[in-house]
Amino acid sequence: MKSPIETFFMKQIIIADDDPGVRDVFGLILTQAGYFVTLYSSGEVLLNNQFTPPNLFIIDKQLSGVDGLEVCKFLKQNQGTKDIPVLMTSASPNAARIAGEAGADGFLEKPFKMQALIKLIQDILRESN
Amino acid sequence: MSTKSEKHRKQRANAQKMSLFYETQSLHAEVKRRFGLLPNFFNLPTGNIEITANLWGFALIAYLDNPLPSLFKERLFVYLSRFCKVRYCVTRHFGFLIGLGNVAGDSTAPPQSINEVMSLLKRTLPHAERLERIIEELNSIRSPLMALPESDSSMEQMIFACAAHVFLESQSFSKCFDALKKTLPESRFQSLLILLAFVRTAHFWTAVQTSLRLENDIEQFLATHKEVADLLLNDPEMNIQETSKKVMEELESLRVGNFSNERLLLEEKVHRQKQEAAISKATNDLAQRVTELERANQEIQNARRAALNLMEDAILSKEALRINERRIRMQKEAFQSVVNAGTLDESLNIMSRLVLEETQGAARTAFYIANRDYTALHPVRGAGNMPEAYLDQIDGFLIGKDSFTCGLAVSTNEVILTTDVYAEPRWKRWISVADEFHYRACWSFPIKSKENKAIGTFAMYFQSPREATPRDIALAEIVTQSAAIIISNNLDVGKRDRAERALQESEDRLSIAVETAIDFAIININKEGLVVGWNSGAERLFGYSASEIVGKPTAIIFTDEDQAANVPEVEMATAKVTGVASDERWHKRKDGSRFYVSGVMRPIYNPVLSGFVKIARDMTEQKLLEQQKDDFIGIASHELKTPVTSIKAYTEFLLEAFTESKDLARVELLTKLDTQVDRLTGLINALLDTTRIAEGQLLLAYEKFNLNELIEERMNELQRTTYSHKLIFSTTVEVCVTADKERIAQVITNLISNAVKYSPKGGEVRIQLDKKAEGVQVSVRDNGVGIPEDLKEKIFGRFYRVRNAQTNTYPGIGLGLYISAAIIKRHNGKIWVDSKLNQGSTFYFLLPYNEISN
Repeated sequence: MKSPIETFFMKQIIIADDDPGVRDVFGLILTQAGYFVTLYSSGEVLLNNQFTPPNLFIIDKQLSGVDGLEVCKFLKQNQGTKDIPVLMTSASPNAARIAGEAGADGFLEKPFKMQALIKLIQDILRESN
Repeated sequence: MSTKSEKHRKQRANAQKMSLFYETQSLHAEVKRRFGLLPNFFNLPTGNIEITANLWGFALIAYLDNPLPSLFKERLFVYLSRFCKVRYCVTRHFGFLIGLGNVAGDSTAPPQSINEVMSLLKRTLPHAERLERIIEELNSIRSPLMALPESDSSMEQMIFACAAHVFLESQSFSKCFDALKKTLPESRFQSLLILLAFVRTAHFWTAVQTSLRLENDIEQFLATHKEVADLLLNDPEMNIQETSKKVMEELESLRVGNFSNERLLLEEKVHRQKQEAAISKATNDLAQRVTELERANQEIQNARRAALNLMEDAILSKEALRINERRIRMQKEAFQSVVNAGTLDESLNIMSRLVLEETQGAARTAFYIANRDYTALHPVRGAGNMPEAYLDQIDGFLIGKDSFTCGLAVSTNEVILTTDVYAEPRWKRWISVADEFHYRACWSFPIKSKENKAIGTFAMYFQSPREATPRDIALAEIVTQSAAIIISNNLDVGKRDRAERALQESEDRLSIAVETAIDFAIININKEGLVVGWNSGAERLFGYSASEIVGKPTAIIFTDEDQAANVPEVEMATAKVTGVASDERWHKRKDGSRFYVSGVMRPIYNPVLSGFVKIARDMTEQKLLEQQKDDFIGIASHELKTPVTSIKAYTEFLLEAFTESKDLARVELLTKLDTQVDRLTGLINALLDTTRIAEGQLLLAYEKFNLNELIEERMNELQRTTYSHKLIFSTTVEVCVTADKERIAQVITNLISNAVKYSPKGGEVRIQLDKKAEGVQVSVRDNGVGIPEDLKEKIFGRFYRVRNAQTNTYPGIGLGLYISAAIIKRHNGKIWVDSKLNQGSTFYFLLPYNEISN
């Protein structure tokens, strides 16, 4: 367990993915990699502004209920969140282009390599600083 | 004492000999080093080493180390050597220029091609006006040239021309000398002069050294290059020096007159004598010129006569052409009349009109046809222009050896010509008929069937005696040939009627079949694209009744988008050009609803294009089923990927943990697991791609990239997966293309891994990149199991795999080539295979240039 001070200085990542297996994996990998991770199973929480602004969003393109792309667009139009980077994920490789059009800062095709995920997150966070 | 001094002398002589030998050796070595070979010029059998050494010194300063550019020097050397009677220099220096030895002793100067030097060898030396123009042009150059001209440029030609005149000390020596001096900077001018001096020396030396021979390399070259040899050895310019010398001498004798008065007085007598001689020579020359002129005049007259003859011939042949043209036109008209079911007399009359025209109305004509048992002839009434009364009299004219003209012509199958009936004893019996109908000449030509049997005659009658010319015979031949076709066609009419009846019956049967084929729409369309036939199947499928749609454009059964895109017109055009147009697409019913149709259209020729028939079948149900299948594959593969994502992440997570704790056994197991997960991902991706292709959703993201690098990267990656195969990439080009890099990588990977997979015994896999006329071509060749001929097309289809002889299958689901083909086709490229069973396959793909930018 980390101390509250340590936790305070950790980078915060919010993840929205409707698949519990994938959520679980994200939690496991990213916590291990030293991030403070918050997991959501849909995009509704994000659309309703019921969250603490993180350092990064990871959003699946195909969320049940509301489209991940819509969530991304919403975040990028919202004053409070427009500068927070968004990483979109999808099982469809040619979703990269439409993710970019929705304003996403990065795209990762599922399934992915763990190292690729961590490197991409590091790159995006470094750039946003 | 004497023996001692003798010995001493011998020793000294030996020493001299030895030192001479070494001097010669080292000089030759030096010469050889510069030229790349030892020219005989510096190796004369009678040579004195001191002279050779000094010549070499001159060569060095004036030619080899001369600061003028090597190529310029060597080309000038060759050019000037052309004017030398001795052919040594020109051939040797030609050799240097094309790479037999070094260009002007400069091993760094690139040799020229034979063709480049050939034009130099063929160049004529400008004189008189041409030379004047060159001098004028050189003089108009404002400042001296900083660089010497390029090989074969017009400046080079001008400088060479002037240099040659200076070299040959021609009449234009001083003008050319001044022009060169003005054109070249002073130092270059001096370099040029010293080079000229050396070439002159060389020429003189070759002329006096009778033992000088061509070297072996040059002799061999000349033996194998006849044209060059001819140019080099028989150059028309080689005698120029002698000629010009003679001219100079003559000029010299004339120039004497311009000398000072004193000398003139002193040599008055000599001078007068010379002048007299000159005048007498001039007179002789004049007389000779007059003779020559007369001869020339005669030749001109001959030529004019020949030209007139030619013109006459031309006019005659034009006339012949015109006649021929008319004959063919009439013949065509007659046949057309047969085709249009004209009557026999109508068709034959067209031929008789031709005869009338060509004989300017002099001939009267008649056609006769033999009866069934070949005993008598009957006239074809209405054909020809002999009066009816005559035909009545002649009707039933007997065929036989004893008969005459027409009767005999049929019986003997030969042309019977009577120039004058009064001069022909056999005409006696019928002379009254000839009198009554006013004819003196009568010609009979048999009309022969295909089997070469006379079936009738064509007769020509003239009022006055007339001999048949070859032209008349030729005309009659055309008439009888045409008549044979017309008559036999007419006799076939009965047969034709029977054939028509049979046709009608079969058409009736067909129309019953068409009407009862209710699952198929059978639509007849005319040339203009209007519906002319509509069966009950069409009524059922499209909802229009025949009466509603006949006469309307066929376009109305197409969807609005297809109508806008001219699909109906394209379909007809395709059917017309290729003989068949088949496709599957959505069509529109009368009520506006859409359904999926598989259709085939064919043109109908009758014998010219009269329309089209389209047979269509409702495929909506099959199409929807396929759609569902594709949708299912799409959803399924997408859903499959989500759990695979988790599995892969867990695997890697564990892999990392065990790597840290150095539990190598588990690391190995998990690495295998990870590989299998990647394989699974690959399969799912292939299924997804297949779905996209089927739905037309294979989207490309174009970018510019280096194809060489991509191939190398893919090859290196795949080389790691096999030890038994050697992957080799060879190319001579470097290519950048604008295409979907990921997709092209996918194709390359697929082709290489197939090559590996289907050559189970291992071996080389050769990847090659070429630029072709149509685009960039990549090929992958293996020595594996190969593909049977009948399967070469199928392998690019979905789910197809080559099996080996034991009908064992190879791993994989058979989508790779299908996807590769779709990717290449989306790039407007081509993909194909060359293969021999059990010998291996070469797969090719080609990306067109319009898709790429270099």
